[in-house]
Amino acid sequence: MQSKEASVEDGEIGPVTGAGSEMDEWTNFGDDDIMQQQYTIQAEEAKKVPFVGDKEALSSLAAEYKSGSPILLEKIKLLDEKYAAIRRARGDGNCFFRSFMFSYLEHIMESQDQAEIDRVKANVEKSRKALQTLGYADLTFEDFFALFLEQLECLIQGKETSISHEELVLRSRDQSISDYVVMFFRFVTSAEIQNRTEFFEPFILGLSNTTVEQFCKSSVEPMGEESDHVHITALSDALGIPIRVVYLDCSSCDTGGVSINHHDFMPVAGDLPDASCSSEKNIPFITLLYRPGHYNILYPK
Amino acid sequence: MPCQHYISAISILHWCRLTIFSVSPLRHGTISFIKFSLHNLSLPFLGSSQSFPSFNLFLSSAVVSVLPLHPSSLSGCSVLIAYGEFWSLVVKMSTPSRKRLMRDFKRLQQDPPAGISGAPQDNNIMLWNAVIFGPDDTPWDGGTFKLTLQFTEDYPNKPPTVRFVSRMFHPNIYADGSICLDILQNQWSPIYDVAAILTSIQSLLCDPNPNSPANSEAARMFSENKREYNRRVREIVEQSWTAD
Repeated sequence: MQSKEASVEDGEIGPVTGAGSEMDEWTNFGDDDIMQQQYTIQAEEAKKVPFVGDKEALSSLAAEYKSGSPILLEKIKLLDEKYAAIRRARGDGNCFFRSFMFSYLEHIMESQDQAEIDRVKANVEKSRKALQTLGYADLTFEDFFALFLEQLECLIQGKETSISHEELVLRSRDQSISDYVVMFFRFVTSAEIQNRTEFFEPFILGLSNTTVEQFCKSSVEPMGEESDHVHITALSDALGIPIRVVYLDCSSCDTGGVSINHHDFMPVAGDLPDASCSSEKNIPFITLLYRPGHYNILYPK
Repeated sequence: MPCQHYISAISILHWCRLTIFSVSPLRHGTISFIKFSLHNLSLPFLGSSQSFPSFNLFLSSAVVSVLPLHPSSLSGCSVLIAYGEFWSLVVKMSTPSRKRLMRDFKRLQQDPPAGISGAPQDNNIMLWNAVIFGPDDTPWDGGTFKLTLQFTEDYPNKPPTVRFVSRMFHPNIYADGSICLDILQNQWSPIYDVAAILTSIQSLLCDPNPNSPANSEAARMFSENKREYNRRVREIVEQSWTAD
C-alpha cells in the first residue's frame, strides 16, 4: 500500500521515470489508488473552502461574475434587493444537505423554538421507524440519528450543553459532526423516498431510469452524491420543513425581462402535525441559492 | 475529534489491561457504556456488565490525578486509570468507528449470513480477518477464501480496504487481491456493515461485472470460454484448501 501510494505521487510529478516503468505503474493503478487520489483531491478542495463558510455580503457574489454574463449580473442586482448575505457551502456533492443543516440549526438557535424541536423530533422518530420497517439494521443509522438529536438539544440556550453561534459554525466545519449530520439527512431522505415509492417513482425515472431502491442506493445514501429536486422534496416532506430555493442561472423570460425565479418546497400538509395552525408557519425560513450544480445559503433582508 | 482523553498518573503497583471497547467518545459530555472485556483480571467492583453511572463514579473516585492529553498521542485512545494503590488500568476509549465496529461484530456473531465469517484481530478492532465460502452449486462451491478488512477512524463514513489474501481468479479481483466493487468505492454508504460488505463480495464471486475488469484474462475467459473459466475457478478453489 505504502509503495503504491508513493508510485501514484511519482506518476503525478511527471514522466521522470522511463516510459516502461511508467507503464507498469499505470497497470498497477488499481481502484485503491483511484480512491486515494480522490481523497487527495478532496483534501486539497477542503483547504480552499470549509464545509460551511463565513457569512459574506451579497456583493461577493457579484464580484465572482464581474466579467460574466450580463443576465447573471442583472439577476444578482435583483437578488441584492431582497437578500443581504450569502454563506457558501463546500462543493463536495453534499452542499444541499450541508446548507440545509446549517440554515436549519441556525434558525433554531436564533428562534429558540422548542416547539419546533419537539415537532421535528417526532418526524425524526417516524423516519427511524420507516428505516426499521424497510429492513435497515439499527446499527447502521443510530449513531447518525443520535448525533443530530444531540445537536438540536444544544441549540436551546441556558443549559449546561448549550453552544454559542461560534461553536455552531465550528461544529458545522468539524468533519466528525458535520458529515454525520449530512449522513443523517441522507438516511431520512432515503427512507422518505422508499416509503412513498409510487409518488417518487416518476420523478426518479425521469432523472436516472433506475428503480427507486437503486436510486436511493446509488444517489441518496452515498456521501458526496449531489442532490436534486427529488432529494429536496423528500427531505422537506420527511421533516416537515419548508425550503425556498432561489435559482440563479442564465435563463431569461421570453419577454426579454430578467427575473429571479424561486421554488418553495412545501411539505405535504397531511404530514404536518400542526398543519391546522396558521399558514404563516409554513413560510420557508430556509432559503438556498441554487446555481447549476451548487447550493449555498441566502439570508433575506 | 472534539473529544477529550484523559490519562491519570499514579505510582503503579500492578498493571492490568482492561479493554473497554464501548465507552463512546466524550462527544460533548455524553458517554455511553456498552460492554467491556477483562484480560487476566477480576475486579470486585466491576461486574460483567456495568452501566455507565457507576462506572462514572468509579472514575471519579479512582482517578488520582488527571492530565489532559492530545488525542493523537494516544493511539487507540487508551486511558490509564488508577484505582487506589492497587490497580492501574488501561482503558480503550472508543471512537465512533470503533464503537460501530463492535456492533458490526456483534451482529455478525448473532446473525451470521450463510457462508461468511469474520472477526477483528485480537488486539486490533480496526483490522479484521474474514472467510467467504464459495456459494453452493457454483464453480466456487467448496472454496474457503480468506480476506482482510482494514478500517480507519473514518469508518463508517469511508469504506474499509478489503483484500483477498487467498489467490483468486475473477474478473473483478486484482492480482494483489483488491476488489473492484462499487460499494467499496464511490457507491459506499454507511448503510453497509461488515456483514453486508462480505455478502456483497460473496455474490460478486458468481456474478462478476465484465464491464470493469480488474483481471483481463479472467474477464475475457468469462465471456468467451466459460468452460475454461470454470476450470480455472476450480483450481483456485482447490488451492484455497491447501493455502495457509
